[in-house]
Amino acid sequence: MNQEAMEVVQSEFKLPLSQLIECYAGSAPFICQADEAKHTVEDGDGVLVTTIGFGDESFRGSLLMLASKKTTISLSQSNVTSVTDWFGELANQLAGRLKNKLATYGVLPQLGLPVTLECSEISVRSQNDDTRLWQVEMKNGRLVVLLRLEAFDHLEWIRTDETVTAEEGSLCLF
Amino acid sequence: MSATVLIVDDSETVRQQVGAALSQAGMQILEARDGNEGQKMIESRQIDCVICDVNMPNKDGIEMVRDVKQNDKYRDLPIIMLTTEGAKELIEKAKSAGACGWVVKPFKANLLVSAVQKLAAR
Repeated sequence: MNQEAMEVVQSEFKLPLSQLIECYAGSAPFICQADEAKHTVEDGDGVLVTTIGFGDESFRGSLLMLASKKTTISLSQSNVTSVTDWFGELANQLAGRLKNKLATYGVLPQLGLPVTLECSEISVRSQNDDTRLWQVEMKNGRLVVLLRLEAFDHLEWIRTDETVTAEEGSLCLF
Repeated sequence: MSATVLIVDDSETVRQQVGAALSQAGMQILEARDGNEGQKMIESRQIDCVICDVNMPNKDGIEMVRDVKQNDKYRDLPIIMLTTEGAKELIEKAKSAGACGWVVKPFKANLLVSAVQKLAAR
């Protein structure tokens, strides 16, 4: 991944991540970048891992999120019958927000469908320049987000105001 | 008589969240998991309004709207897209396919309920 595009994504990612978590957690989270994160089962609670891919003809990327089941449930505003489905939906909403940010650079990647797994222990690392890892600390617990991008060619993403995007929570009738 | 609203979304959680908001307002709820199921339900039930996701397996939301609207019988059926995406290009695509509204998740229940009430009463 070329540094320029990664810097664009890195600078555009933290705000949507923070806003989404604030919307469901009820208060602003503390977000910091990290090199490594580990999640282990506590008190019989499971760890959820969800991933969603996105890309176009010039690049591809994936977003991975980790959180305990307890934390995931606490981020829902209603009774959740399928915690794996809800975690996948959170990843989908985060990827959608990133896509909306990239649209302002004239980039419109396709989003994949989220896939969620449950495990007992997992650790993730951001070893390369093409991967970034964030730890999100909330009153509800901790969430780990890993973002990986791979470019097929040299990318030059320049911000343009031509692509207007609808705001989160907005409703527009045609 | 209360309006019947079809919610088409591959996420069970979103169907529940939207369904809870609308049923609290007295509406009858039907659910479908993708565009194929949604289209079959539209063709077999009396539905007053549809709320439809965009990214779904098998048949996506915009494809479903395009296919449904090809039948004149459903020309006036209001279909609102409910999605995480907000790019102008996609909104235009949905509009040309025949959708009548666009909501970006996370949705505000009061806004969605009043829009559905307005559209279903037309």
